[in-house]
Amino acid sequence: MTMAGQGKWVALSAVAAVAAAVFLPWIGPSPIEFSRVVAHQQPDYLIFMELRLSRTLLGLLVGASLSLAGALFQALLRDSLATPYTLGISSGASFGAILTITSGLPSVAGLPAVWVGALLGATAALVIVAGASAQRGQLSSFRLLLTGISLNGVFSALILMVHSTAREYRSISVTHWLLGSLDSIRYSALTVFAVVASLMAAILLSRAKHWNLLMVGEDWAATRGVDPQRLLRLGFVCGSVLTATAVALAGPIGFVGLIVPHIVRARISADYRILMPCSFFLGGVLLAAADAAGRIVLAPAELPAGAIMALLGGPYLVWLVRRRS
Amino acid sequence: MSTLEARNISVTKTGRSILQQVTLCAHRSELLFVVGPNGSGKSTLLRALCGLWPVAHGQVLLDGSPVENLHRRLLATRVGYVPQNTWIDFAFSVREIVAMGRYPHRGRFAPETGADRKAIGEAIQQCDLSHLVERPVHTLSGGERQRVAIARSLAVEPDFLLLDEPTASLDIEHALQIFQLCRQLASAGRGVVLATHDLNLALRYADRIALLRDGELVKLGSPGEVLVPDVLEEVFRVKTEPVTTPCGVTVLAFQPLRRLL
Repeated sequence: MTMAGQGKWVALSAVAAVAAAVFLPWIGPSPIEFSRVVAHQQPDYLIFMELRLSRTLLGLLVGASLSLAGALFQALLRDSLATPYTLGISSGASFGAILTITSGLPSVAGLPAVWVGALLGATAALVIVAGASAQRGQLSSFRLLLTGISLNGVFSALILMVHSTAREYRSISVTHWLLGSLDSIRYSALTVFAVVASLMAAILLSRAKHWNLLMVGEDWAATRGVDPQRLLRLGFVCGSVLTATAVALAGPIGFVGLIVPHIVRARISADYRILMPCSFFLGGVLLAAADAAGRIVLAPAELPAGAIMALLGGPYLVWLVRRRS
Repeated sequence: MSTLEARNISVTKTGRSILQQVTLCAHRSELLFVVGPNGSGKSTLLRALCGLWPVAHGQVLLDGSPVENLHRRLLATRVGYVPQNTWIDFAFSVREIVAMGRYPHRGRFAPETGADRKAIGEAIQQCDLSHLVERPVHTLSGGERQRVAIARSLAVEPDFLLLDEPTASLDIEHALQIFQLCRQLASAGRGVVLATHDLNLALRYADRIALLRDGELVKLGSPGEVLVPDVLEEVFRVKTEPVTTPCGVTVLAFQPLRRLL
């Protein structure tokens, strides 16, 4: 495929994301009418604006952030199984969030407490992973991967511990949160998230060529005019910020960060100049669509988006990998 | 005249000394081979020459200026490096990989220029990869991958090309092709530095040979000066007998010093 042909895919993915934002809010258990929404008539207008639209936008942003972070970590660790989970960053963020949920703090310094908890947890995980796997200031992807997997186990155990000692009503909200679900969210919070995600995406996309080089080998990247150590550090910080904000708002939604870059790599291109923007847009579309489906398949009950992603994503990934090998 | 020079360099890795006071100078239009037993420092010498490994003492100089003072991107357009391990596990196509050799030549978002396409096309052709350009690299054989690795460094159009055991996984036909290619590149004005274990091919193709042992430069000179039975017996602990075939090619026949029981 030529570069121009691949550029078309980026444009198509972006169009798909916009289409998702326009059409997905209309899907849900209670029917709403277009004319009534436009005329600001209740309850249709309220359902559309406060419940469906904010939730769809959140889904788009969370899916986009996690997919981009997944694609990034796959390049940083040169491992096609790497995701924000593999490095323990996601479980660090989860642990921080769950601590704040069980402690019952509503907000810290004006910010929702879960955000602060998740960010602190992700930062702690990053510091531990980087500190434990650095030797003489050099990061090695092999040690990072092993440390991340170990850390994952430790955080999972800690989450279980906190969860089992929590009061019953808080335990329910912890369980709900751990399933990874999208809920309606205030637009102010959504705006902060959108700014953070776009900023990280811009930083990462501007270095797309460098991720290509890193993917092929650290040594070789170094002889192609980049500083692999600086690039690794930048990547880990951006990836952690993306992961922490996404986890803080939607819980640990797995699979989207693993599966979307894989689909893009298999179907469109392995070139990060294409793979990154496509993963960003399509990851958002996939998660928002999974959430919309979750609203109706078992209505009036809701299936969390994370559960839908895992139910459909797991088998699809297995099929994809089998077919390719 | 352009030169890539190691001036009295020493390299230490995790407290262990890998290279000690090595001085050698690679010239353009020359094919310089680096040979020596396992662990003698061949790879480290190449890595130090392209600025990948910091030197503890001494200096690496490109045209007389220390490489650590050169901008990474400038160095990247002048020195190409083919590492030993070139395993790539992702579905980049052959052309995409070779095109990455040109990254430092352009800005972050600049598209390929005609000069880029020409360099990429020539590199692909020289490494006999024209029929594989669209294939994902992870579906290629070991030898084909190695040729892709060489092509991506050739696409750089470097003044100096450093290759770390480029023929270790190649069959004899492709190994000979690679050596011939290196020979041609040298004749066309590039400086080629190549680490290898194949002393026979070194004898046949090298302009000069650097012989390392335990991180020290034992001998530097023409193949006829370096690959002589006395020196090889001392460094590799083998008996060597030069034999000239009827078609005029001299080969080295090796015997172990002691027979194994």
